[in-house]
Amino acid sequence: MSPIPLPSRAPLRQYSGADTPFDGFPGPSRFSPEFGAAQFRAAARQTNDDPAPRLLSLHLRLPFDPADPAAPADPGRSRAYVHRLARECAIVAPLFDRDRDVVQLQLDGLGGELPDDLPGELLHAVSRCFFLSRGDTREFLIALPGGARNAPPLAGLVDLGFNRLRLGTPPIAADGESAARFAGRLRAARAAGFRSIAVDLRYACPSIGDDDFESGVHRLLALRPDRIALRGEEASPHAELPAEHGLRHAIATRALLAAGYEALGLDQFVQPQDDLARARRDGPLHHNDLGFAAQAPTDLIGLGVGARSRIGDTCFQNYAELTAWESSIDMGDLPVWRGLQLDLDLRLRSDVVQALLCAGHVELDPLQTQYGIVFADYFREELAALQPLRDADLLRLDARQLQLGPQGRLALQAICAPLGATGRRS
Amino acid sequence: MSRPFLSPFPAKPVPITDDGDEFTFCSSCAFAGACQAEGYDKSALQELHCLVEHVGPYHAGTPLFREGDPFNAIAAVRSGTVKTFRIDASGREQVLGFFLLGEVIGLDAIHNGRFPCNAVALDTVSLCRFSFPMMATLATRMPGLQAQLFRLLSQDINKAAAMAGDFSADERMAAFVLSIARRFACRGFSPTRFVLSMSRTDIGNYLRLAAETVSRVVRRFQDDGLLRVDRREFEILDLPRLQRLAQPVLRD
Repeated sequence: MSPIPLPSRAPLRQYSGADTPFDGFPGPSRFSPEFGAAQFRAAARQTNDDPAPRLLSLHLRLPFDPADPAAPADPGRSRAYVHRLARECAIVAPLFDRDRDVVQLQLDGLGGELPDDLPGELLHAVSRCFFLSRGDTREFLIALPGGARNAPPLAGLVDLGFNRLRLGTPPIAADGESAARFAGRLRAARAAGFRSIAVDLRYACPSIGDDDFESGVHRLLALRPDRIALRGEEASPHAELPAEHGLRHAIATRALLAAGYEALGLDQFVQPQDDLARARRDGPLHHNDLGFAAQAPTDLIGLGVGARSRIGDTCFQNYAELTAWESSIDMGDLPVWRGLQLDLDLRLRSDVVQALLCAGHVELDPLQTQYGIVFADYFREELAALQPLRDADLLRLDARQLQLGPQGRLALQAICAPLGATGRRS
Repeated sequence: MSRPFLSPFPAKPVPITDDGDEFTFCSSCAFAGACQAEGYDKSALQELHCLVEHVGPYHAGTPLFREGDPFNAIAAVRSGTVKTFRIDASGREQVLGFFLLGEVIGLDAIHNGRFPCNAVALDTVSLCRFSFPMMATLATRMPGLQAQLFRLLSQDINKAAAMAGDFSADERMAAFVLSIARRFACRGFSPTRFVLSMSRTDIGNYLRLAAETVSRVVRRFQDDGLLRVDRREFEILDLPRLQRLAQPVLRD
């Protein structure tokens, strides 16, 4: 593969889409409580009946992130939460046929004072209800918060079946001590046997100068994490960004590319030998609420307070309010709060976005026949809005296909925002 | 990687039309050929009190006729998929066949004057119903037409027993996928890309395989590069190899 010339700073700033957030799902603000538990059951049944039903992704969402207002404060409540999460698994799992293996699993929201054995307890409960894949390319990710002083032992997590780790990263201009501690944790994670280690690179740091920022980036890159995600503000990764954040975003992007990382899109960068890079080249690559996975398309089951699911052509969200979620589970009910049946327009947009994110192109003929549309007419406004990106060869349109240009993955945020279901995470 | 597929709804080159009236057949009518071969144009049919009319759309799950119902009409599928089945003495369903667009249901009822099985819409189904008040005397009132109509019988009927016969799961699944593809192809749709409305339970029932076996075989075909499946969308990637696999069953 011939080296792609690094993009100059100006187009990166203009077309990174860092200030036009794209949310892969239809925003939950469109969900309705009229479309709830009964429809969830029906969607599970319907997908069970496919000739080869999609395999499963599980999102185990804990609310212990200190930034989250719903977070319980102490180990006692966290154990109670995990017990209920286990109970939720037992309620949800029987709705899905037994031969639908779990090939992707993400456990996040761990934070604060957490008993060491909690991930183990949870995973054992999950594995009693679902069949968990043991394949090498499975995406079993645990997200550990940054700076946790008593994080669960890493080797134990690998034994439980986690093969991917997302490590909370200290701020880019952190003092020497926290930087060193972070480097130590990363080394320990490698030694423990995680297949991929992912870190966040926060570029919204107005308090430090450009030079300090750049050296902080290089310090992080020297640790060679397998996957790096660019993030803006801590609390809301896709908030509106002032102009100088756009510059920082471009500096970080340039440094990542120069260091040999490949852009997947949506601010996700990976080493060329990582499973995701290989999947981008040879398939299968899938994108869902949890990000990219080296898998064929799956159905996503969200477990925990506020967790989101995508089953077939339907989306759901669990109760976002802790006591509502708790009472549902205590009564043995599905804690589904609201949902949405994707209509033709949303299905079409979802297909277009998924094809661009994963394959990097959309074949127009089959799409036009399936949906009964003429692509250039249906997306006339969106294509007009994307004209500057087409002029910069980030996106190409001809009679046969809509295709990303050689550097198009860097602009996926900006490309998908008008084409896809737009809306912020609420 | 997600790629959208061709769906069996009319586009080109053989659209299902709606351009007939009481004097002329629709340009894509399934019955026109048979009737005209016997010298009946549409107004002649009218004189014989034979009614050809579009009915539906019926939503998925609607029963279209039931076993034992008095028989007075055959119907061509204009869109969607129809499943025929019987219920055995212990209440278990046995799938008899699937009818795709352009295919005619009810033909096996002509002899006895009663439907020998049940028919249900698997998705949104529109039909063209060819009804004759005294269907049992069709043979005498319209000599030759019955024979013509039997030519509309689905190619699948002969294969039904074969599919359930002494063949491996792989051979049966390959034969099933291929026969569906051919039926869509002869209606003018893609010979390699189509959407299936049948559940894996129904497919398994029809082929005398467990539903999980259907999926295991399909996933293996996918791993081996024979076809690609996502949800209900099929794309045959290696037609020659699929044909070789299905050969013992389809014998062609």
